[in-house]
Amino acid sequence: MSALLEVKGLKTYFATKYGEVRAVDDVSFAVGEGEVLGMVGESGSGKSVTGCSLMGLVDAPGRIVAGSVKLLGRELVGLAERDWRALRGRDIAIIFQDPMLTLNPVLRIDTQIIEAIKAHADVSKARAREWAAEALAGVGIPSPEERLTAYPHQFSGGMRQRVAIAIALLHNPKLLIADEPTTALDVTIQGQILAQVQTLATKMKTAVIWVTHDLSVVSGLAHRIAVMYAGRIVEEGRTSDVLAHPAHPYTRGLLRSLPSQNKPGETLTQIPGAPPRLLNERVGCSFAARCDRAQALCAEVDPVKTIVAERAFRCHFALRPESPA
Amino acid sequence: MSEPLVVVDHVSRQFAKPLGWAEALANRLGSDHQPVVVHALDDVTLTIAHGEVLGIVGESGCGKSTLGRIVAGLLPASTGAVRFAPSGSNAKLARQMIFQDPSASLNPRLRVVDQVGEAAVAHGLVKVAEMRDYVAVLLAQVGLDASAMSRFPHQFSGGQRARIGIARALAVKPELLVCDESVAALDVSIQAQVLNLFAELRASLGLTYMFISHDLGVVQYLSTRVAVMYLGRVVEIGPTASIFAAPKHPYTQALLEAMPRIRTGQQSFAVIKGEVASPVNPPSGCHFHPRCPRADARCASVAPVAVLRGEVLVACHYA
Repeated sequence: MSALLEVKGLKTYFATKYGEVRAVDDVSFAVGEGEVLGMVGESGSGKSVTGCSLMGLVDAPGRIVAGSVKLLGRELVGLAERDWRALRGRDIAIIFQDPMLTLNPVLRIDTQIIEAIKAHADVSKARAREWAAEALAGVGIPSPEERLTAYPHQFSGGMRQRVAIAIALLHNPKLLIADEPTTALDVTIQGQILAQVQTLATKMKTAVIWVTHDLSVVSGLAHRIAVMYAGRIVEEGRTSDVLAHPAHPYTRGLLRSLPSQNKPGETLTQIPGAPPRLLNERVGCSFAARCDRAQALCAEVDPVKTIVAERAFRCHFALRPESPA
Repeated sequence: MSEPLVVVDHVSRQFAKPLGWAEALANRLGSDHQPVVVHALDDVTLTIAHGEVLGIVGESGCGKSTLGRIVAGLLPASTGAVRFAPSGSNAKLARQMIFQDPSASLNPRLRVVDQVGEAAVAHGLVKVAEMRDYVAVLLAQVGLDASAMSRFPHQFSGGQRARIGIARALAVKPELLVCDESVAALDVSIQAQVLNLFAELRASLGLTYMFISHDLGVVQYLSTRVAVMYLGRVVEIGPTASIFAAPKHPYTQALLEAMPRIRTGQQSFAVIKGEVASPVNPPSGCHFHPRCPRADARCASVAPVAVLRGEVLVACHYA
């Protein structure tokens, strides 16, 4: 699989009155055509900021300090705003968590979809309308012609998210970034949306980065998983490998703390403490304070990325495949 | 069998939006505007035994939070009754609620010590002079340091705030805790800490829980019995293990099917069609019939009565 998107050494920092917050700190990964990458992490791990950095959506006080993001060989970091406008919605699209914030509440759905169509395609009004109806039908909205004239508040949460997805997919983007799009939805609706994205990635060869805090959501969807902690990818690899034999103690901790991974009545394995603040200079491994395998070395030396057989991790004392998950 | 702690007896609850002045005026002039009525709960009957954890699952709008509030005594039922038989004398204090968002349910301008100790002092459980010591014990019980006492809620992380909310509920020595999505806003690693705390407290204080959650994994882990709700009705209720091993109601089956689990290998998301109907105008007969793969004419006209299948009570004509 040739890499469609290549991210190298990406650093996105935010200037605050307390100092610089290193939200994304040296993140590298690649996504191939038709591949689904699950990006998993807890609040504040930098997963959403990574997604926004790829879309050129980082605003002051945040800025991309270093690194490169290449889409089909084209460098995106430092791209002028007018070039971004030509790119967003056509080559890269994003779906956010809350469709109520994505959609304009005072505009009808058709106005919003047709605007997005005309931004990148020179088509007649009638054709654009047809296209909009097809897009709604494509994400499973019944009687699309009628629904076009509705306002966002007249849709349910799941339907609104479908509209947002339909808009994101209008121009068959090469890369779709999904930032927790099902977190606010009920499980049965989540299942419907996951099914849709799965079909899409297979049929249209769209690459998908699915950002989520819930490992179990992406476990059935993603080909590869990247686990983020404190602004870094601490482990990355094929989904089945990572889930069956996590190399990083944090990944193992996350898996073990899922209630569904534990027998009822047994105490859940918990990761003690809370994630670190990202203000200070990084000394040693940022997970060391919460890690049950940490030794003196971990507090002093920041682990470098190690790659063993398609698996990348940042840990001095990584778990071996034979140790229990 | 001893008397259960809580008996919910044919409880229904409607919420009506009163007519606006224009509609009221129009009605006087002879037109016929009806108020919009939401049928949040429709004839719910269940019991909670001493020491048990009853999980309530269902999608948004199924009435699980309304049921929780009625059981906690925060809302009256429209028809039907809730009987609550605590061993202590004060039935009001013996049931407490823990809410979803601890930053919204804690007073941002009260120090933790007042927040947690206020109710106990007001109800005469402790004297004002003893409040600090009392709160220190409660905080230790939920895994917080006594130094937390003089701080304000905004100085804590989400997980710590959840602990403060629990300490506040425990302050009046409750027997029943109604937890409404109490861990939904927490990160997985923090959620595990709070779930462990719930389990510890249950063992050490002999608490009974009604645990409301949309997260089936959490409910499967924590509860001893589960009630599955759909559009205001309990469609299936029984021991957790039996329901998760062999769900009988088509809705429960669909819900478990859609439940995200850790699995290796690509999952095909076999999905249930459509969305939950509006509780303003629920479907006739069985509320689930428009989405049900097994529904026929009888389901559309006759509401199924719950019948006992093994240990599980199911409301379906074809279960």
